[in-house]
Order: sequence, then structure tokens, then C-alpha cells
Amino acid sequence: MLELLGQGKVEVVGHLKNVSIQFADTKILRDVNLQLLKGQLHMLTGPSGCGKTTLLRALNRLNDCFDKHEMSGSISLKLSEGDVDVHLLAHKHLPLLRRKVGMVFQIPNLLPGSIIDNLLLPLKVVAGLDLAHAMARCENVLIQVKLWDEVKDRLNHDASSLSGGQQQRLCLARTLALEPEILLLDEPTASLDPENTEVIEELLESLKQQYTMVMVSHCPAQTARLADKVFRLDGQQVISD
Amino acid sequence: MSRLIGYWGRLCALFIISIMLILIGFILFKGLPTLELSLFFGDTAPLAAMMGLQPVWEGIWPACVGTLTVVLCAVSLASVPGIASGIWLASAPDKPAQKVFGLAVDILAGIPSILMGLFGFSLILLLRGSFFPQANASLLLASFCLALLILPYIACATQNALSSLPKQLSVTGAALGMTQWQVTYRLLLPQAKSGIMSGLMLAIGRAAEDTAVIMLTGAVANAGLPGGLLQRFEALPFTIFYYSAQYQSQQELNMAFGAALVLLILTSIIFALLAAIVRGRNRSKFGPVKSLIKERIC
Repeated sequence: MLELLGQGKVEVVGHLKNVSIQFADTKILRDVNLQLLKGQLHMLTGPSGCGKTTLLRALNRLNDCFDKHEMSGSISLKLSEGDVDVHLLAHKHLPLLRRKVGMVFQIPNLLPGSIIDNLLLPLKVVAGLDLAHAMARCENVLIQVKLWDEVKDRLNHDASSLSGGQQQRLCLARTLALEPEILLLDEPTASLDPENTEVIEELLESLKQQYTMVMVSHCPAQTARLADKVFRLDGQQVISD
Repeated sequence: MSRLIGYWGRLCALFIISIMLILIGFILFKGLPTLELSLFFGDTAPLAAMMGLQPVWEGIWPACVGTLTVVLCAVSLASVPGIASGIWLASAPDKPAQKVFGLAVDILAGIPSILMGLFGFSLILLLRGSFFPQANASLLLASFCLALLILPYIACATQNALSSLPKQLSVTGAALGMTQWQVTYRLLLPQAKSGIMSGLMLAIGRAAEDTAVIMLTGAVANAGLPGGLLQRFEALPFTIFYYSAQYQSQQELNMAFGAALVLLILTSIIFALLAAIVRGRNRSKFGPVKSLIKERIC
């Protein structure tokens, strides 16, 4: 990696130093150190319960949504706003951080309402776009995630009427619509069949150049196919990268 | 054993339905024959009575208007703090401050209405003896005391409705960059709407039927149409109590049954209207988008 840096090919956009996280009395992560490189897909692997999702959520401070959470260490991200010390951010700045560090969950987390409601609500509420601009962006992201042709005639249908794969692509589109700089993907294909998994993987492959991604996966084959860099977690620590 | 429990459950459900049907049937049987214009307006011309041009002495029209007014005022006073309390209670139910506040709400819910009436009455005495010597039993005081009585219903309904929503919904909202307020207002409250509305309906029913509070804080037998927030007023529950307790003729007792039926119909209409509003609002918030999308696609 240092060699690559020396050649000026990749830029470090994230730095985690001695990150330890615990919920109540249970220690989840201990002294995790790692770097995130711009435009690369970083894969977090490891056995169930080793803290992969917790580590992912630490990057956008989503762990703060859960009770009795404590974190030590430092997380620095290089965003368009400048260098951001994530661990020091005041509560009022977290919405902007989470917009810039978008997240897709393991199970498609649809918002209540129609397909278009799922995209429009964050665009109107979070990004503050008017209807015309929001609609234009919706169309763009739906094309980007290759969902436009499948849903363009039923945008007002209930989002839960979509198949699992379509729902996950809709969630990805919803995140991309907010124009994040870093994408966090928590086993986005875990609940999908092989066909839909392939579609999502192709999609992620195509997004690699645009976004720095951190993904959790349990599948070694998927890791081999997609990952630019692999971090293996075990015993609360990153044991290899 | 499970079959026995099933039968017991059905029997209990049947018992409740039977009691409800018997009660409603009794009120209908006694009250329906009295449902005439004279029940509402007595000897006064209906239009003149409705416009407030002539007083109504032997009808329940002023009590109907009084009940609607006091319920509207009480629900207006209680709904905002009730819903806000429910949101706050649901936001972190395990924190000490919320636990104490939750206990206070539970205690408030358990206070008998006659005590709330006495509280209102004592409040008048306190105000008279301090900085408001003109204080008297009035529509405003009755509404305030009723609001205190129904506030816990609204707060508990809101808290329960919000607590029953999946945690993932608020986490998803937060992950999309929504603030706590946006998550609550845009995601959680719309989903908890029907639960909150149920609480409001319960509160309206409670405010409409309560006699003890208004009896001590502003309701009288012959006040006419409500003349203002600081005036005394008539109300259906008090009219029912007054006529059924002190009737001097069969006609007056029949009026009490008529008033009971009218109160039942009035609250049913309010419930139906609220339910219709909830159904109407369940439509997509982005209704106009539909046509716009179709235009774009074409």
C-alpha cells in the first residue's frame, strides 16, 4: 500500500486508529487500525459476531442510535468538506456525515410508501430539493442501478411489491441519490438469490471508480470477485489486511 | 387445555358484545321516541334557537353546543402536550427522567374525575384569593380540567404507537441523514398515526362523557348557548345527570334518555369523522407526483 501511495496512485480517505467499541459491558471491537483508500472496495470479512457491522456503523456514527454505546480511538475521513474527525463530531453534524457516508443494509430497509416515495422523501427532506430536481435525480439513480426500465411504469406502486433484488437496488438508489462520497454496504446480497446477487455485484463493480466502498461479506467467492482490499476481523480485532 | 382457553376467550368476547348491544339497545329503545325537534329546541323556533336569537328553555340544543365546545377546547388544549409527551417518553423509555415522567403520567391517568373537578374548583378559590379576583367557574376552566384528565390517554397512546414501530425504521432514517426531528415527524409519526388517533378518540369520548369535572368547574342547567370562554355553559352529560336525578315528570326523564342517545350519536359522528380523516391522510404524500411522472414517461 505504501508503495502505491508513493506512486501517487491512491489517496487515503479514511483512517481508523485504535478504535474500540462496546455496547453496555460487551466489548465488540478492540484497537482496530485500518486505512481506507479512495475509489476502492474494502471488504470486511470474519466470523459472525466479530463486529463487522459495528465497525461499518462506526464510520457513519450509526452506532450512536443504539443504547449504551461507547467508542474510543479516532476515525478520520477525507470528505469534500475537508478532513472530518468522525469520533469528535457533535450530534448536530451527524446528519451531514451520514449523508456523505451512505449505507445500504443487509435486508432492504424500505421506507413506508411507494417506490417513488422511497426516493423522494430523503431528497426532499435531507437534500432539500424541489420536486422537479428531485424527480430528475430519481430517474438518474434508477437508471444507474439498472432499475428504471423495471419500475418506470409503476413508480407509485407500493415499494414492498418489488422483488428482494429490486428492493435492494432501490435502497442502493436511495442512498446514491443523496450523492454520498463513501458507501457502506452491510452484506447487501445476503438475502438475495444468486441471480440478484450477480446483478448487485455487477452494479458494485461499476460503482467502484466513483465511490470509496466498505462492504461486509461472508462469501469468500464474492470477496475474491469484488474486493480491492480485504480486512479480516477476528477476536475483536483486524487480524489481517 | 388450549381449547378451553379458546372457548373462554370467545365467551368473554361474546359477553362484552352482548353488554354493549344491550346498553345501546336500551338507550335506543328509550331515546328514539323522544328524538324530535322539541327535544332539541322545546317551544323555540329552531332557526332562531340555532342562531342564538332566542333562548331555549326546554331543549338540549344549548347542551349539544356546549358539549361540542368544551370537548373541542379540551382536546385542543391536551393534544399538543399529550402527543409531545408521548414522543418524548418513547424516545428513550429507559432513561431516569422518562421513567419519572412516565410514572407521573400513569398517576395522572388514575386520578378520579371528581378529584380533577375539585382541583379545578380549588383553582378558582386560589385565583380569587390571589391575582384574579373575578375568577369563576367557566368553559375555559372546565376545558382545562378536562384536558388534564384526557392528557394521559393521548400521551400513552402516542408512546405505545411509537414504541411498537420497528427500530430499523428510525435507524434507516438516521442512516439517510435525517435529523432526529425529521425521523420522528416524517417517518415515525405518520406510521403511528392510527394509534395516536385511537388515543385521541378515546380522549374525546372521555371528555364528552365526563360529568364530575364539568359539574364543579362550569356546567349549569340553564346557561343557554356558550357565551364565551369565561362564561358558564350547558353540557349533555350534565343535562342527563340533572334530568335523570331530579326529574319531576315522565317527560323530563324521557329527555334524559333522548340526551343520552344524542350524546352517543354525537361522539359516534366525531369518531367517524376522525376515522375518515385518517383514511384520507393515508394516501401518498406525493400525490401530485403521479401525474408528473406519467407526463415524463410519455
